[in-house]
Amino acid sequence: MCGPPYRGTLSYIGMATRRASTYVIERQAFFAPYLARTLETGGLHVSYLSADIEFDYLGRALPDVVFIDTDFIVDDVPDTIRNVRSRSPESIICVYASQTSAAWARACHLAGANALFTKFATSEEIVAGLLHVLSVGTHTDSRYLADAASRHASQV
Amino acid sequence: MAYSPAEIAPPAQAPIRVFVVERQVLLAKAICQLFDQDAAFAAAGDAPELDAHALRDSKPDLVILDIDHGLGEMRESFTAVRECVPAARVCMLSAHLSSELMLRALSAGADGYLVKDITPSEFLASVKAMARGGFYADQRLSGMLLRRHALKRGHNREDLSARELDVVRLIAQGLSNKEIGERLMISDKTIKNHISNIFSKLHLAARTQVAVYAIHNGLV
Repeated sequence: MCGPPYRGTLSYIGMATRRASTYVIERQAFFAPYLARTLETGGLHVSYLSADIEFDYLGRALPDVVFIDTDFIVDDVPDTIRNVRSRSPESIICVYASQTSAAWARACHLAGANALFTKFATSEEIVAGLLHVLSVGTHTDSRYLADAASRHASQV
Repeated sequence: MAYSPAEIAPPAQAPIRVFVVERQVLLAKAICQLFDQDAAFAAAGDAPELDAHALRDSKPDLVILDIDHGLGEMRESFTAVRECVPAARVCMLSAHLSSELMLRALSAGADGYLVKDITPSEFLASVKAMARGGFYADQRLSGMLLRRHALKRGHNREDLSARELDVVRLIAQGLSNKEIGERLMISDKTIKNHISNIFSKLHLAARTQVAVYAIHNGLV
């Protein structure tokens, strides 16, 4: 599954020469530091980390990348993605979730997410996905594609 | 005969062996890294599924079982772990801050229930406590359960005196304090005391709630 083409001026242009500032939203306090280190391995600079989305910070900082663990988002996830997009229009939005349904992935992409990672991805997969999204602006975990393929196969 | 310092020192505790059953790959690695950084723990093992061989081989003191990601029914998962490593303590790990889920986990036989938003130090302290034979329940959820228990107790009509029950019935009939006083031949001040006691004992804050209580409990 491919997301919609990224619109507007892309902040990822030129990221090859600098580390992308990244805002990480992760509620699991004992996991957040490990996640941040993994993202830094992928070439990001984690500039801020919080348990919940701080929209004021987001609007002020306009980070290159917003990485959200959506399992702990109480509100509707596509709505949340749209809110993030409206506060920081040029950020690359990465969603990290335990969901593996293709329909869910499509809804997130349509809402404005650039990259989708499942929680079953290894750190190597996440790093590779980050490099991909930083270079071309989009990435979708292969597990979503596998779900889409299996649904398609069951219909034909 | 004098004892040497080595003989009177408390026996050193062996490092705690933990096995983590966690499908979220990065989280499993993060947990294992936390244990690696604490001298109280031996290197932890992990697997994305309930792997009987790996569990038996690692001889864990404690198994951490993530119940969020498709490991089947909680009780079945717990039983499978118990069959593999009967002596090991079992801790359920979940993203859900749910007292119902915690009760289900504990009633299934778990020795603890951890919510994934706790801090690293809380996490390590609770795992140590469980591995040493203790029991751990998330304090926020325990608080909720205790409050609920207190509310249930508070709603017991046996806590009310006969006179307070009279006042409850009359409030439910829509009488004012003055009318209740006239009916029961007691002063306005005494009525206010009775109502205050009723609110306190039933954990209520308004006359309408008292009326609802009376209806639900067949007092009117």
